[in-house]
Amino acid sequence: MTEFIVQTINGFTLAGVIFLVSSGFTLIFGVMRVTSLMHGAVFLLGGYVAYSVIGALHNFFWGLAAGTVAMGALGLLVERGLLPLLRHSEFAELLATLGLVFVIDDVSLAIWGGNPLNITLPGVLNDSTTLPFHGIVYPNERFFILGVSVVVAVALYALLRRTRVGAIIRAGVDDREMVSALGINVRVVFSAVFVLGTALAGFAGVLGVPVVGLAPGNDVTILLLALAVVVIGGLGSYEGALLGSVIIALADVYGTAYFPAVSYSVLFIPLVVVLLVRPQGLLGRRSMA
Amino acid sequence: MMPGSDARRKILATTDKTAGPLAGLAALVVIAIFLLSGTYLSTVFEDVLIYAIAAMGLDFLGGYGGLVSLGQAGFLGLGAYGVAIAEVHGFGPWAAVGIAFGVVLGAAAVTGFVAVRVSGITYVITTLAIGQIMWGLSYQWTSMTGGDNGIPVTTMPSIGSFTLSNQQDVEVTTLVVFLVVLVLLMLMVRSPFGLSLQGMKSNERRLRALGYQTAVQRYLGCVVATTLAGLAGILYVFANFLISPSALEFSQDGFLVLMVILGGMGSIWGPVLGSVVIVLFQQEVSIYVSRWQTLMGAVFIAAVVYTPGGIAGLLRAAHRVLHRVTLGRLGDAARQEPAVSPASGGDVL
Repeated sequence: MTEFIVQTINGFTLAGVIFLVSSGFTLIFGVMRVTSLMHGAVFLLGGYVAYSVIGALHNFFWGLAAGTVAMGALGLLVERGLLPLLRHSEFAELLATLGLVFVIDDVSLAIWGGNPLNITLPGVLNDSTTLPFHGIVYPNERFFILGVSVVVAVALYALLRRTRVGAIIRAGVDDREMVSALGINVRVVFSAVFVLGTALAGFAGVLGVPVVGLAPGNDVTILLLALAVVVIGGLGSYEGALLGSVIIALADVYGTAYFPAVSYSVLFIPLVVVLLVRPQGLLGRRSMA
Repeated sequence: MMPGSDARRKILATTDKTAGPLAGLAALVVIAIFLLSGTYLSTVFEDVLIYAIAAMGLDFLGGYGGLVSLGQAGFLGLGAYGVAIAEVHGFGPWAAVGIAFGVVLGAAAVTGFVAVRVSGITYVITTLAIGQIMWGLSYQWTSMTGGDNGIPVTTMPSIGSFTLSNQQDVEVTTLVVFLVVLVLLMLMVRSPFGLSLQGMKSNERRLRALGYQTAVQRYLGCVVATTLAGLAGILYVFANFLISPSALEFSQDGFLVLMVILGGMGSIWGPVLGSVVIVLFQQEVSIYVSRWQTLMGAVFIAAVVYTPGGIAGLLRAAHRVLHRVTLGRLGDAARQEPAVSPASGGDVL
C-alpha cells in the first residue's frame, strides 16, 4: 500500500512535467499544424542550458529562467528562420524538425557529454518531508515540481480562456483563415505560439530534471510521452493534454513498478488504438488529417 | 523544321529511356565492386544494401503511396530478433529464418490495417508509436531479448559449402536478395497495383470515384513495406552476428527516413543512393568529423528545404538541363515539345 501511494504521488509529479511539455506541443500543433518532432530535444537542451548556468551562478532559479528563455529564443529562430522555407508543407516541417533533433542531440552530446547529469534544488527544497500517513518520506523537490506545474497549468488556462491573446489562439486552433480575415496578424500569433511552446518545453526540461534526469536519450522518451499525451487527449486541446498527462504518467509509473518488462511498450498501445479508432483523440473535436 | 532533326530527336528519346537504367547499372556495378572487394569496405556496403532494402520498402509506401513510416527500424528489428530468439529456443538456422519471416509476414498483415485507417501525419505518428513498442519490448523484455546486451547469433544457415558464416558468402547473399527486391519493386511500380498506389498519393478521392479499392492498395503497400524491413532484419542479424535494441532506436527510424528523403522519394534508386550516403556518413565521415551527426542533420534539413526530390531529383534535373541544351540546337520547332515528363518524385513535400 505504501509503495502504491508513493507511486501515485510520483505519477502526479511526472504528470506535471509531461503536461508542461505536451501543452506546448499541442498548442503548436493546434494553431500552426506543425508536428514539431524536436520538442523532446528542446526539453533536453533546456535542462542542459540550466545545468551550465547553475554551475556558473550557483542559483537554481537563474538556471530555470535561462533554460526557458534560451529555448524560447531557439523557437523564435526556428519559426522565423526555418519554417518559412518549407512552403507550409506539414510533412516538410515534420522532417525539418526531425533533422533538428539530430543536430541538437549531437551538439548537446559534444558540450555536455554522454553521462547523466543532475540538478539539485536549493535549500529546503532539497530535503524530504515525512507525510502524516503511513510514515512515507517524500522529497520536497517533487512537491515543488508538482506545485509549479499546477501553477503554470492554471496560468496557461487563464491565458487561453480569460485573455484576448488566448481568445485569438483558440480561434486560431478552430479556424486559421477566419482569424486572419478578421485582420489579426497571424504571423505574429504563430511566432508567439511557437515561442511559448518551446519555452514551455525548456521550462519543463529544467524543472523535470529531478524526475526524469538529464541524459542523452531522454529527449526521445519525452517526445514519445508528449505524443502519447496529445494524441490520447486530442491534438490541439488544452484539457486533453491535462487528462492525457495524468493517464500516461500514472500508466508509466505503475507500469514501471509492477510490469517492468512491458511498461514502456504498453504506454503506446492506447496511442495506437486511439489513432485507429478515434483519430481526433478523447477530447479532440476535429480530425487532425 | 531543320532537316535531320527527327533523327536527332529519336536518338534523344532513346537516351531518355536508357539513361536511367544505364546510370542504375553503373551504380550497381560500383556497389558490387566495393561489396566484393574483400576489404573493410565490403562490410560497409553490406550495411548499405541491407538498409537500402528497408529504405526501398519505406519508399514504396511513402514515395509511391504517400504513407511515410517512422517505425521501419522496429520491423527490421522484428525480423532480426525473430531469427535470434528462434535460435535461442533450439531451432536450426533455416527454421529460424522461416519462423522470422513468418512472424514478419504476420506483423505486416496486422499493421496493414493501420495504413487502411490513417494517413498523412497521423500515419507517421502511429508508425512511430509502433516502432517504439518494438524498441520497448527489445529493451525491457530481458528474459526474451537479453535486454540491452541483445542476442548473439552463432549458427548460420548453409547449403553445402555455401555458408553464411563465411563473409564472402554473406556478401553474395545480400547482393542477390537486394537484386531480387530491386527487380520485384521495379515490376511492382509499373504494375497496375503500383500505378494505382501512385494515383492514390496524388488524388485518392478521384481514384475511389473511378472504382478503385484504395483500402486494398494501402493494405498491400503497407504489407510490402513492412515485409521488406523484416527481410532486411533477417539479413542484418547474419551480417552482424548480433541484434540489440540499438538497431530499433528512434534514431534508426529517423535514419531510414533520411535515406529515402535524401536519396529521393518516389524513385527506385533514391533510397539506394540515400543508403550509400547515410551509411558512409555513419561509418566513414564519422572517422574524420566527430560531429558527423550535426553535419548529417544539417545536410538533411538543407535537402528538405532546397531539393525536395533528393539526389535522384537533382540527377533528373541535371539530365533535363542537359537535354534542353542539346534540344536547343534543334531549333524552335523542336523546343515546343515537352522535353521530359516532370519528375514524379518530390511532390510529397
